[in-house]
Amino acid sequence: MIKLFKELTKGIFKENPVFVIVLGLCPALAVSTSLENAIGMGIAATFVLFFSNLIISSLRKFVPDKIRIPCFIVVIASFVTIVELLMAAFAPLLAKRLGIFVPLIVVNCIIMGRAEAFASRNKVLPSIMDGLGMGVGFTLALSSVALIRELLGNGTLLGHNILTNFNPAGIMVLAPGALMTLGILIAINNLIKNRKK
Amino acid sequence: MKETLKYSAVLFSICFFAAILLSAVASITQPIIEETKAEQENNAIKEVMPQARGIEKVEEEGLVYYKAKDFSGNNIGYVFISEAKGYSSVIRAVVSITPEGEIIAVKVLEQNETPGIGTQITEEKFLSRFKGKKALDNIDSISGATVSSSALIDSVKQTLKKIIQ
Repeated sequence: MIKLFKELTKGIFKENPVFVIVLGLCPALAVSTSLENAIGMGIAATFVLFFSNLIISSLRKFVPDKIRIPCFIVVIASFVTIVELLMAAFAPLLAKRLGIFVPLIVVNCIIMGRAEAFASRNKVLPSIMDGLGMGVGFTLALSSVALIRELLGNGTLLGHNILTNFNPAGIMVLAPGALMTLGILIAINNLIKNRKK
Repeated sequence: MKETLKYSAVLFSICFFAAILLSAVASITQPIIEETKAEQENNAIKEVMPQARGIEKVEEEGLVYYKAKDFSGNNIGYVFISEAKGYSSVIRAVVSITPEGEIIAVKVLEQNETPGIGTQITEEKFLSRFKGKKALDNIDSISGATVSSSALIDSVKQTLKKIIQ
């Protein structure tokens, strides 16, 4: 039980996919212009991670080693397509704003990485926990970048005006702002980790 | 040889199940997706032409536009959708005009321009510049967001010209 819990929490702090493993930066930088987009993207990626880890770990004895990569890709792409369809049907506004980044979850290296490094080598239950933890970690990382960017770049949070009488720093919603925010957050994360030692 | 067959069988069965799953999800979501799309378009038309009681779709020479009528059936104007390639996305806007070809209102339906810069084209401050303008009138673009705003202006004017003809 304690071990399972550890699989869940490691993705959030110790092995956070964005801040520690530094994977999946493309969506992390592109979609984090607003908190709403970031949370939507995080939920979509968590859904895919959960189900792809579940299926891949239950198929791990059935799939021969030599063709594992195409098999993983079929599984991941299927779940991404499902997310895309569900989003277009039930959250059309969000689907429109995320645009190309929803289908691009297929090539999100966090998902492929977890399938290869964890789900294909572990039992189903730990794999689900791993997928869930990594997904939550990804969502939290995206949201924290987005929170800073939306607040400083647009003066809003989830579309509500927070900072009035404030001249938004346009650079924060552009690519340089994304890189700077991410860099500073990784630095803070490392600082906390080093203090603990 | 034996191995190749085994690999093909494994891959085939995985793809087969994936296809079944996907077609099931697609058949559930397809009608909902189409419904929300039609609804969004209808809402957009209502928003730029609130006094319209009846809307009639007209299609001619590759042009699609809507004729708006009041309750006694008089023609009170037209509504059309214009599309333009902006700075980083396709900008879709809905435009309503009077029977004489004067713009009543413009509303942006879809865009994915640079947040805070290109997205100024969705603000009332910019969109009100269209009001009362005709196809040949000048409309000022937004300084700093020239590409996005002039793309929208040009496409609105081009489509307007075509419809008047």
